[in-house]
Amino acid sequence: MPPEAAVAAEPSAQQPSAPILQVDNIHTAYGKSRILFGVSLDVQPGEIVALMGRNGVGKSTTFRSIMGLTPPTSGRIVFQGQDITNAPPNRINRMGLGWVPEDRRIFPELTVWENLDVASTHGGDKAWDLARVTKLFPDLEPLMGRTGGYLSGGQQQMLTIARTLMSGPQLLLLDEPSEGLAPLVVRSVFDQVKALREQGLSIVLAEQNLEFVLDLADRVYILEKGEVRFEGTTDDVRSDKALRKRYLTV
Amino acid sequence: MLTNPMFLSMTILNGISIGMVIFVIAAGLTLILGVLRVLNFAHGAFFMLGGYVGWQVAEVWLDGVPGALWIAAIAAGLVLAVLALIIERTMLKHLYGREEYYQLLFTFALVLLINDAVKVIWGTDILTIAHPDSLRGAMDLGITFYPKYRLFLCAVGIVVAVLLWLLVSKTRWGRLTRAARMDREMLSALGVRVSLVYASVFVLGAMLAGIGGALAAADRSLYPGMDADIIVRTFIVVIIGGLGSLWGAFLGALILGLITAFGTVLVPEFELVLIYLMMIAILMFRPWGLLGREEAR
Ligand SMILES: Nc1ncnc2c1ncn2[C@@H]1O[C@H](COP(=O)(O)OP(=O)(O)OP(=O)(O)O)[C@@H](O)[C@H]1O
Ligand SMILES: [Mg+2]
Repeated sequence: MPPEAAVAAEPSAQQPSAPILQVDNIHTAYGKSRILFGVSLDVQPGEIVALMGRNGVGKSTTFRSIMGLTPPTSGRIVFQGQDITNAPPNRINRMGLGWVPEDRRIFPELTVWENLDVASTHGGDKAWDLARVTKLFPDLEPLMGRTGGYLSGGQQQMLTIARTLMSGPQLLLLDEPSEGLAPLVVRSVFDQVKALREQGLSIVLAEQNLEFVLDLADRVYILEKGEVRFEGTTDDVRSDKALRKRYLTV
Repeated sequence: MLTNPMFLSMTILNGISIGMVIFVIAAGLTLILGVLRVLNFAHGAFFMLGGYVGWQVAEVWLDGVPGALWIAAIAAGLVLAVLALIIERTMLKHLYGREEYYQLLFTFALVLLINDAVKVIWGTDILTIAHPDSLRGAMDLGITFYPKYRLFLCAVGIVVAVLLWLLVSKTRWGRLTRAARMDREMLSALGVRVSLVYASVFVLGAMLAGIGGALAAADRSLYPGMDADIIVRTFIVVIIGGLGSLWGAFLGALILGLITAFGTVLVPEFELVLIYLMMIAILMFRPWGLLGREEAR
């Protein structure tokens, strides 16, 4: 099924600058089980782009493909003009792509400070150092000596974002940051993502929380069964009830 | 016999010095096992090869030169480090994440290769390295006289333990190795070249085995095939200590050394049986080893 026609022509006319990230028709599989069937998307510098869709449609797999963790079997991924399709994850990160996984993946036996330190690989944007990161996440400051595995869900979410920032990204792949968090904590994660945008980061946000997305994102892609079924602005999603009902859990 | 304080203290010191030599090998083995998840059968052969390289340097090339043993130990460590780097970069790195029997077959093949190489280069005679002048003879400990060189071996084990602990817990390299063992994929997505971390762990482990082999060769003899007994004991130490645990290996090595020393004087024929019984007893109460983590098994 092709993407909904109404919006297909819009984005390029609206934003003439070169995209920071371009995903072009990628197919991805885990062994024999094929998950993505020609996903394409692009991100302009400074944008927040949301990747939506129900459970299991391939949002996380799209991120894994971009990061080189599960490279696509065909298609192309271009970041800042460079083809990164088959590059190893550590090189992709050093070029300025940061991945914040949905299950947070804190190193459980390392302290908060150690978790941050291992990510300071000095490959990406060197302006992201401990001082700048803790300024953005002051709540982490008193936890520096705490063991990662003993943090609360909200604290772990903060730490995993902060850790990825330490690697100096220009673009963040943020996978379901609100998942499993209490409403009040979701609110603070929301504010943090907003603050990240103000720091000049481009963000791709995989998220099921509609409110979260509508208040934050500039544009939205909706996936179903490993294909992009909709591509448009946040306003399009807000005004189209049938669309939301069709592709998103409400 | 054991009521004689002199004899008792000598046996205890024997146990500690045996244990500390085993520890130097076990420390590298457990580090490699913990981080790379590779059971390196060849680690005993690395130890043996270190002994022969040490012998070559100390007894042939630098015979009579004061301090020859120290140079020999450094040389053995370097030779093993280079060898390990070549093995890891050209072959072993392709086996990570594969089924375990690939790694077992590969490291077992190394055992055979190293043994054959030793036979071809040094023959099958039993060789020994002379003690350095400074550590010849015995030291008066008040309660008993004890060979200085064995006291030195005890000190080496303790120094290696403390240095490794500092390295793993306080340095950036240590943080990277601990992160790599917890979640290799995440670490690589944060920009770290995890394969280099792996290589460095393998090289460090082999280097320790090489240095340990050269130093131990001044206390016991060298012969082809000696690695078989060593690797069995080292595995036992790593298992009872807990896979990947440095202090577990230290504790396990001490226990094994003491049982070996006391077993040898009390029930000489059954010394190895005692060791197996000890291992079974420990694993019955702590299947993951003395200081191992529960999920590690
Ligand atoms: N390692 C894996 N091996 C095999 N199949 C996998 C693997 N990871 C995910 N899948 C499958 O791929 C499909 C897409 O998963 P993916 O995690 O990309 O979805 P998602 O959109 O992120 O879902 P969610 O909202 O639940 O996080 C699912 O059917 C899932 O079962
Ligand atoms: Mg997901």
